[in-house]
Amino acid sequence: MADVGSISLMMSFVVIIYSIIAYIVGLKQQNKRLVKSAQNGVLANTILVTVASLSLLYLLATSDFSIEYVAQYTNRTLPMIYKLSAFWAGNTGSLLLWFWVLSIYGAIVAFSKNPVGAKLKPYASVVMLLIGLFFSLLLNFDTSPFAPLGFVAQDGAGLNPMLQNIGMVIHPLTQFLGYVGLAVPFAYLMADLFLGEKGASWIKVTRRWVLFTWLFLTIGMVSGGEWAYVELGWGGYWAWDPVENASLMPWLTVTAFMHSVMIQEKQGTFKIWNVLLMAASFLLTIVGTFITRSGILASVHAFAEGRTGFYFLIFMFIIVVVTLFLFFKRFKSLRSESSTESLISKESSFLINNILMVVISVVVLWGTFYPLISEAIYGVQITVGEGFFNQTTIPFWIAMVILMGLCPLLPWRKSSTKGLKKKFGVPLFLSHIFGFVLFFIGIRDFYPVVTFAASFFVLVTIVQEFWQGVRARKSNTGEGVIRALLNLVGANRRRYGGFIIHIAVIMMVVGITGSSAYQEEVLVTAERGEVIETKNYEMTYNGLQVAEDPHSAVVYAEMDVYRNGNFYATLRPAQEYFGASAEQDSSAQVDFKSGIREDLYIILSGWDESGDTATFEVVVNPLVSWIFWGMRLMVIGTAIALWPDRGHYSRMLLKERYSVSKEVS
Amino acid sequence: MNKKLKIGIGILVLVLGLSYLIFSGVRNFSSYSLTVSEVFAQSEGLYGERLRVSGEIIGESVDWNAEEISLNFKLKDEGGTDDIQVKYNGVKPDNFQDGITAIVEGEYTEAEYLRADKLMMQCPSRYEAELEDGSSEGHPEEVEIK
Repeated sequence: MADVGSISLMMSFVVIIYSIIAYIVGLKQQNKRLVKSAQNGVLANTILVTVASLSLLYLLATSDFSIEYVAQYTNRTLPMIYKLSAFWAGNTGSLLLWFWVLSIYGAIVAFSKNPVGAKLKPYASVVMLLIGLFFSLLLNFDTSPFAPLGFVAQDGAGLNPMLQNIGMVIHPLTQFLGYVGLAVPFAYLMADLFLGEKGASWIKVTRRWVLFTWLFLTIGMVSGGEWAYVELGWGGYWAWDPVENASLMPWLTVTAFMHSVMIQEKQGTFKIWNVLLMAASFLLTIVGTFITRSGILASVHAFAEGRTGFYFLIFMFIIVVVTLFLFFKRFKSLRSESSTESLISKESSFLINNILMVVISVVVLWGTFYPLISEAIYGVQITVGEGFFNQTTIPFWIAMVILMGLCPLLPWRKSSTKGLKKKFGVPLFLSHIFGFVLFFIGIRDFYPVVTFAASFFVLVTIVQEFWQGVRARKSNTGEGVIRALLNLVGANRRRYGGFIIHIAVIMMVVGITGSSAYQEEVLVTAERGEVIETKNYEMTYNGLQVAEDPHSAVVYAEMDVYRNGNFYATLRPAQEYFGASAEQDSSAQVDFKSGIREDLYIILSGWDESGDTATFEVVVNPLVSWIFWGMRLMVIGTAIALWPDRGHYSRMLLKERYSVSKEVS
Repeated sequence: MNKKLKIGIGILVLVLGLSYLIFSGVRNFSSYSLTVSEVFAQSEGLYGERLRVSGEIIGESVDWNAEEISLNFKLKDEGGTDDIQVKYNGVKPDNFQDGITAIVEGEYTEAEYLRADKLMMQCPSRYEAELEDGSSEGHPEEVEIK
């Protein structure tokens, strides 16, 4: 099976080179048959990489310990789901996953039926193939997942216990779908710049694709945090680690892009900006992969493989040079004539929102790479802590939340004072009241109060928007409230899907604010029978128990928790010991009870030999579950915005013809 | 006031505000990354500085006081002989054992110990590929107190 894998990879390398050449020659000579053949090459490549990936899955599933990768990341007792997910546990496997996803996306591009992008399609396919070529080179000549161990191991080393969690399945997969997804709009962008087309069809072709990618970037990032929260046992979900930052930066630039692209669609401005944002987003995904691959920045997630990082550096360099070259070549045609008319308009508020997101990305980039920057300047590595990122970015995040309330409701071009009053009067009034109520009930810190009030402001503007839409529909059509609401959303999915996404973001903002500003943590060593008190919780330590199965042994403390004097939950924080060498690998299994108001989170840290005393870390995390529920709502909102209309393509084509003819005339 | 001037002032304010935030952020929240022997060599010059030191845990130096929840231990460079004392008010993280690499962050005091407020561990190499050049980085697990 390993031969099947490595031979498929080698064949895919040959097929990629053939397809690139066939595309280039075919396009140059306008030889349709050759282009068609290249297109089939793309499909063949996808099939080959899929075969290679499936054979790795097969090797993992059957525990073939003659293969180095299998022996390194799995063992016999590992549950099947984690045997399979060990696919992306290591460096070379995750490169194969990149390549696999990229190949599938490549085939989707090459066989796209979207008439708008028909002209760009073959050129975009070449770009996809060129990116694929890089990964094919790595997997064939640098590091192969099919490398033999040289002997057959009795058993494998097993998977790191911290990776044995459902998060291991969701987080890396979604993160990769998102990361690699940006290759598609980037490929169309490069094709567009190369051809110097009028009308910027790359934006129209990839609009839904970008949204789809953005959704996976979001799920990847938030599910990574959720995984850390439920598994790593330090009570948090985000630590401004370099790799976390690497997933945040492209998310920010893509979010900015999705907003500014609306202005380009509407008014033809922001062209340069959008080109730069998309190029930067794709580059940042490569930077992110580079950070994990190179181990250049000490990180929780780094793989640190010898030369792979260096190759990524070269790859990044090539991307930058090519992008800049094409960009300056087309610079003249990208410049737009008209500019914003009024400071209080949708355009300018979008511009500010874009600037904010880019500013945050730049700050995060600076902080992440500061160890390298400072080494270059001062000769000593200086790391900046979480405090740096919090202090520098919080004002900008808050400004962004406020803009979320303003942008969608501001009119294009110019706004009248009367119109503004009508739109923002009620939300402004209510959010101020809300702020005072918070102050009155004792929430008085500046940032949290402002953030909560701003979130409330956004919520009211959205509810008002829904309400006005429903009311108008009701009086026009005579439908009931529910019916009118459903039809309203259905008739304008992009707009109302967007609003739902905004509500989801607000939920996450509230969760992040609550849990970071008001987290309470106690470290306590308790004797048997002792009651631990924190906030309004009381929990009794009743000694330790042991549960054993062939795979592991678990030592846990059963604790009955009372809240305000009433029974609330039984929690079992534990330490789990893996394998025969018990002392070697233990890992804390936290237990927590999640609620709307707050989570109670207990970690069993240690105990004395008799078990008479044990040490606990008890964390009360206000509102933290809002973050993870927000993510789920976001999926729903995005699905609504993405759902295709009937006759989608034909309408797009009509619009395209219309806008091109307008631009030409 | 014309529009260009307005935009110019806006950008200037943004740039100034941002640079202030970045510089004060770096000043308040940065720590020097040093090895144990580097700390040992320039000990006096580092009093009061915030450091980030990584080194191997010396097993016999570990002193865990469950009552006070304090963890005292010494770190040394891999293959080195110099060591530094670390005092950490927190619990033992997973895999806290002799010979495992720990990363600590905190203030270096005049009494020549590091008062750590952050302690991160690297996983046992069992789960990591042993590379030819032996430069295997683990996955440090982050444990901290605020």
